[in-house]
This record gives sequence, structure tokens and C-alpha cells, in this order.
Amino acid sequence: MAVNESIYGLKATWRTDNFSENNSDDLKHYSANFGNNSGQILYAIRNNKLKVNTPWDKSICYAAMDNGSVFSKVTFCASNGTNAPNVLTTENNALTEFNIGITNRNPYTNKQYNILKDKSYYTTMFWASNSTATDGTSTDREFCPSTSIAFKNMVLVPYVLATSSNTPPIADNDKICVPLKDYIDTYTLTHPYIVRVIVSFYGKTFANLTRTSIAKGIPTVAILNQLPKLCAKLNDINESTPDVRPFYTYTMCRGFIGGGSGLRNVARGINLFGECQTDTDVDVWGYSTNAYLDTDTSSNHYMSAWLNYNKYVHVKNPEYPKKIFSYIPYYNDFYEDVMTQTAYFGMFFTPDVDVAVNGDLNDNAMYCGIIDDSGITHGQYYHGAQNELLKQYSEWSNTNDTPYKSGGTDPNTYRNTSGFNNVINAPRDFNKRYVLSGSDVNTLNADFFAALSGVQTSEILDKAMEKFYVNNPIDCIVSLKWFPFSLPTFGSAQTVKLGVYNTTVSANQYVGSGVEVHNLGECLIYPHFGMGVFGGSGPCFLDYEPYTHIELIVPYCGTVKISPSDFMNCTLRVMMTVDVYSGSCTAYIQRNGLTVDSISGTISVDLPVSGVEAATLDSQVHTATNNFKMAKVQEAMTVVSSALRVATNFDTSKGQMISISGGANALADAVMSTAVASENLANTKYDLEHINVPFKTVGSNSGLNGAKAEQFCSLNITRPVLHSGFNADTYGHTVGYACLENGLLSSFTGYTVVSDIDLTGVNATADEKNMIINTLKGGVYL
Amino acid sequence: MILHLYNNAAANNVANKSTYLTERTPVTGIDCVPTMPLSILQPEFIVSYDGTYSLCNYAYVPAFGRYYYCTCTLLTGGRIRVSCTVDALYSHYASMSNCKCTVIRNENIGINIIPDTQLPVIPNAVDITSIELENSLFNTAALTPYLLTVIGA
Repeated sequence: MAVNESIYGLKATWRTDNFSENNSDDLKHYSANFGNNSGQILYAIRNNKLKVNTPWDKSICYAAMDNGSVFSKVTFCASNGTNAPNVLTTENNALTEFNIGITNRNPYTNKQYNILKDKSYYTTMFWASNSTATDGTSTDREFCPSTSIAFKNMVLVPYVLATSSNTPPIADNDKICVPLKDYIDTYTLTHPYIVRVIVSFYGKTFANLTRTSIAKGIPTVAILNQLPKLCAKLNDINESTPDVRPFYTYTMCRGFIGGGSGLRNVARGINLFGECQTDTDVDVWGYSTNAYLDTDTSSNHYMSAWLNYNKYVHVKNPEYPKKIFSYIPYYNDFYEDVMTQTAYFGMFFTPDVDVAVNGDLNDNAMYCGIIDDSGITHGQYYHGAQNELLKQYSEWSNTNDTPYKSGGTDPNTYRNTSGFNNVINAPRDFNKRYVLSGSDVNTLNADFFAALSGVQTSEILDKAMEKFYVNNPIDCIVSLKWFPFSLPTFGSAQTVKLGVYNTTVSANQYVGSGVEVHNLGECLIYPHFGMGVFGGSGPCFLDYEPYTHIELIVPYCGTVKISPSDFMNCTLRVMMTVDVYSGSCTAYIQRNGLTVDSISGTISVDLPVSGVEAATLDSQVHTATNNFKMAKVQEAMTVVSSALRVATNFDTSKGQMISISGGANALADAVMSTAVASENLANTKYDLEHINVPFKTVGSNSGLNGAKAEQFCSLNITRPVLHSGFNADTYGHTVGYACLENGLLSSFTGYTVVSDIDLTGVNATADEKNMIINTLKGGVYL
Repeated sequence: MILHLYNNAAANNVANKSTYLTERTPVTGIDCVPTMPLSILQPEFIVSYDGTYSLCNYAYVPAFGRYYYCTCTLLTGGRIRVSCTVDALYSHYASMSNCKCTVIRNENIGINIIPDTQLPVIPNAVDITSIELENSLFNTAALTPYLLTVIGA
């Protein structure tokens, strides 16, 4: 991940502290330049390069540690000495992002927090100033983040500080500080009380033949995982009641083994294991700004213990009542634990200081932490010739070459195949399904009509209800579908029932999941124009779009466009799911087992089933009968009314019609209405005797075209045609095969067309160089 | 000035012509008189007549360190004018060989995946073929292809 140069300075300005400019680039150790040529974090904060209220830019992380590293268990406990301590923990299960930097040398530390007069709050974990330097101008222990560390020039050596006594006060003579190898070989029995382990750095600082301890500055690992926002009230030197200022805190782990006349300046490095004591008093053990687990609030005393290191033993120090002497008793896995934790830095390391100074990177006693392809370290390591397999040895020259990108790892889980899982387990409804043969259907058809044979039309409705439970017998059939394959059956054959009517057909039921999954076949998409057809190797461009097109025809669904680019040299498979209930189908096109496309269609054919619509028939009979009855009544009434009309126009006193015209009209009307009524009666009688029997059809024809098409998937491939006169060898010799290669001109032979060439070093005139270039562009024989 | 004359059988775009040159002058070359004004890229020389010289088409001038295409013209007085044009390709072949270049076509390498627009593909002519994917599902002569759905328990 490229270092953010806008924050940490342009690459050309990075500082090479302790490392000579004369060193080759793979021997230099660069640190950030925030603009003041000192690389100090303090400067960066004061000039708003790094803000206290925003997370740090982590482009300086070249790797991240998994949860096995001790640094993933760091807790931070801070106090300004008078207030209650605040415990801040790192995020659980997060990768530990870190940066290795250098702090300027100052062996003494003081308060944990300093607040600047300008209200810039920050934790002193990046520096510790003397109390007199609370204006932030002190350069003591300024942290200089590394922007680039040369793998081939950084060898780490774990040092062990141990004692022969576990009863403080401990005399100087009872303390040792030796490389890990020396401790294991010589001191595990005599000095079994391990107080601290630090990792010291060796490198070729001034183009030395051997590596030396990096004396100036103290290597430090800064843990860049964000701790929770600080909640404590901080002492402001200018305010009696400071505000709570939330900001992101980070922690730094730096170790210095010194103190006492015998051990001063023995080793400086990253604190890997061990406690620290920081006190206003001189600490005989030296100091380290570690994260802390616990505090003794009665004084400015802090004790640290790694959370995952529960082997700690704590003993009160009678000489310094406020201090606690903490140690780990030597145990068998101690060596392996130290090696594993050192490996987390992904650098070369060795327990033997002689190998660190003089050894080659593939020496048997030289080890190297493994950084995986994502830039994560897991505490694993190689050694000896195995180191040559690692990229820190063979490919990377510095930490900028690692693949690690801050922001965490990809949280997604990728899969390469798709499956078909039956999530529906035989859904049930109020229907029954039978799987029939063609002859079964014919027999069923006959049975159906036979059921109502001989039934009077007036009784047809009752019979329908009695046999089929429905007004219309046809309504007991929901559907009849035809599939282009045999349907699976379940159980044993049963009598096919329509309602309660037993047909003469015996058939198996279908009680499957309702969705059948079928493999419709597969094939390999092969580069037809072959590999290495036109010189060289690899598939030919003619096998890809726009030269070659591929279409997949799926029966009952349609056509799917297949991209040669997606499928070249891959297996194309078609899986089809069939919904037996609805007759729909979906074809899934898979590439090497992973579904990449789909197309749907209808695979079944609905077949119409017709039958007497009894309810309608009954209704028609009822209506016709009523009409006939009404017509009879009407006729009778009409005759009466006709007579009545004639009667009302007859003058009985005179024994004649009241008027000729009125009488004639009345008589005419009477005759007409009677005739009409008689005609109506005749019509209704005819209607009753000639009712059309209604039929109903269930289902309708759906297309049978699919059943007549090819019953397999086919891949239609359209390819270009080369001219018949094409000869590959002649073509290559006179035109050349298309390529894109870079190299020295002498590395090419045969017909060659050059697009660009750097003629620096050719002692030719300008005109000649132009001639050369033009000739090369036109093609030459080398 | 010394001049060497050759018969050159190589095409102009052959970079290293050494195996295609047949010298017609003595190994030590022949004396020649350059005409004025003298050009390094297009010099002219006058040499004494020799029957083989007039057929030469290639020259080398050690003093210039360059090779030339040349044409020989007969002059009066037993002389031949040799008119030269520099062959920059062969003249600087040795130093040019160590130059970094990008090659986009080559007789031996070829990267098939790079589209080659010069390939003689017949426009509008295509070849259509089909691959059948075998399956055992579809069978229009299936024994039980009908599904009857009826009401009822």
C-alpha cells in the first residue's frame, strides 16, 4: 500500500535516520518527514498533519498481525497520577495494525499525559516529556514513523532480561540481559525469572560489511488500532477543570533495558513481553512505555502485563513499596513463544546476535516471519534456505512492496460453485395429482362421460353433486398437463378418483417437492483456433468476441447469448428446474459449476378437458319450464281478457256493439292477443323441448411447438473464416504475428516490427536515427 | 580514401547483411577519390574502372564506418562514379542491438490474444457449427408424461 505522501512527506524527502544515503535502496530505512525534517509525530500533530480527533492514516502499515500476537491483547491504562485510571481496550478480534518507528533517545519518562497549552490533546504514548516541557516543544522521545524499511537490512534479535532472584530488591549482579539463544543455552536454570523480552534491531547503517545495533534512537512499534475514546478528565496545565476531549488514542511499545551499572545501554528495542515501571524515581529496570493492564492508584506507578500472558507473578517490592516486581518463571515453551511473537513483524530475525551481525539471510540460524498474500502475519516463520522462498528475500526490497492494505481484510466469503437446494418440502394443497400415461387419459375421458350417461337432464345437477361434489363435474378437474418427460411417481398405484367417483384408471400419485432439477448436459468451450496457432502460445483472439459468437439454445426456454470471454476453457453446464405444478421451467447456465445466467420458459402443455356444465343446463331447464308455465297462464288470461274486451263494447240494452268500429276493434284486438298468447305458448313449449346442453372446457391448448423442437440444448458457434490462401508460416515471415514484447533488440529474431526504440548510445546522425526508426517500424529481419 | 565494394543479396530491411555480402574489391579495399562536397550520408567516389565493380550495389567506407547502397556509373577515362546512400540499419546494427525497444509484431513470438487486424479474415463469411449437449431428460415418447390435478383429499 503506497504511503500517503501528503501526510508523511514526499518520498524524495523521507529521512534516512541512522542509515547512510550511500546505502543502496534495499539497505535504507526511511522515516516520515512531516515537513520539519525530523519526522516527529509532535510536529505532525501541531501542524495538523495528524489530528487528534481523527484516525491515523494507516498507509504506513506494511502488515497486520492476527489475534495471536501479544500486541492484539494490549490494553491501555492511563492515569495522570491523581485521577482514577481509565482502562481502554483494543478492539477484539481485529487485526493489529502497526508501524515500526524510531524514538529519539531519552531514558527517562515522566507523566503519562501532557496537554498542550494550545489545547491539542494527545496521549504521551508517542513521547514522554519531562514535566518542564509540557508546552510540547521537547523532542524527547519523539516518534518517527517508518515509511519504508528494507527487509534485507533489518534483522531482529530478541533479548531477555532475567534475574536469579525473585525477591526484590534485586542486585545488579543478579540480573542478565542477553540474546535469546544465550539465555536458552546458559541461563534458564540460573536466572529463571524473566522480567522482560525486547526485540532489538540490527542493520547496515553506513554501508558496513556487517550489521550493527541501531544505537541511535530506539525502535518502537506503534499499535495503530484505535482505542476507545478517552473518557477521563485530563489535567490541563492551564485549566483546573479541563473539558473531556474525545480523541483517538494509540499505543506505543518501546523497550529499553538499562539501569544499574551493569546493564546500562545493553539493548534497545520493541518491548515484546514484560512489565514496566514508570515512576518519578529512577527505575532500576529501565523504562518502557507500554500499555498497562492495571494501576496502583496510590502513586504514579503503573504495571503492565500482557493480557494473554497469565503466567505473570507479581511480588511487592519492599524497597519501593509502590512498586511491584513482576516476572514470568521460565517455562519450556518460552523460546518458541518468543520466536513466534518476533515472527509477527514479518522480518528476518535470529536468536543469535552473531548471526544477526555476520550472517547471510539464508543462514541456517536466520529466520524470517511469513507475510501472507493479504499482508497478514500469523507468527509463522521459515529459516535457512527456506527463507529464499519468501518474498522478503526474493522479490520485495522494502515494506512498500507488501500487499497489505489498511482497512481490514475482505469480509466477503467467495464461492466457486452454485447448488440447487430443495427448500420446499412437498408443498401440500387441496388437490391430488396423478401421473398418467396416454392410454390412462383416454380411459379417464371415457369414464368421465360414462358417469353421467343415461341421467335425465332434470336430474343432471343432482347426479353431478352426488358423484363429483360439484355442480359441474368438469370442475373437479383442475388441470391436465403434458410434459416432455416421464414424471416421477411415488408410492403405489391407486384408483383415480374424481370427487368420490371412482374411475377405472389406476395410477401413481405425484407427491414430490413440486420442483424437479435436471442436468441438461455440459461441454467444454475450447479455443477452436487453438493455442499457439500464430506463433507463441495461448488462445487465439479469433476465439473471442467480436470474431466468435456463441448462443445457447435451451428447449422450451429460448436462446441465451454466451460470451466466449467468460467461458473460454471452462465447462458450460445447463441445469433446469421444472415447476411441475405450473409447468414453468428455468434453465441455469453454469460456468465451472457457478451459475452465471438463467432463462425461463414453459415446459408443459396444457390440455383442454371438456364436460357437461350441469349447473348451467339445470338453470336453462328451470328457466324454460317457467317460461312454458307462464305462457299457459298468459294464454288463458288473454282469452278471458279478450272476451272481456268484447263484452265491454257490447250494449246489452240494444243487443249490439256500442259502435261498429269500436266493436270491430275490440274484437280484432281480442283475436290478436289470443293469437299472440297461443303463439307464445307454442314457442315456450318448443324451447323447453329443445334446450341446448351446455358444455365447459377446462384448460386451453398451449403451444405444442416446443414438443416438436430439438429436445436437447445446443451451442451454436459462429466463427470467422480465414482466407483459403492463408499460410501461417509465410504470414509470420512477411507480416509477423501480433505481440507486445519489451526487451533489447538483440533478443528478437526473424521478422520484427518495432513500435518504439530508445537509440541512446547509437553513434549516428539525426537523419540516420530517423532512418533506423522508420525502417524498424516498417519491419526488419533480425 | 579506401572503399570496399560488394554485391548485396539481402533485402533493404535485413538488419545484419554480413552473410549476404560478396566483396568484389580486394580485402584491403581500393583507393577512391571522394567528390566534393563530401557528405557522410550520401558520398560519391571516383574509382578506377574494373569490370566487376560496375555490378556492385553495396559499399563500405572504413573512414566513415558506414555501409552504403550504391550505384556505379561508368565515366570516361576508365573511371567509375560510385554514388552512395547510407544504410543506417546495418551501419549501426551492433550498437543498436543493445537498445531497449517495444516490438508489436514478430515472426517467432506472437501473442494470439492480441487482435491482429491484418489477419486475412473473409468479411461477411462465417462458419456456424453446433454442439449438442447430451441429456437423458427429454423423451417425447415418455411413458407417463401427463399430470392430472384433481380436487379431493
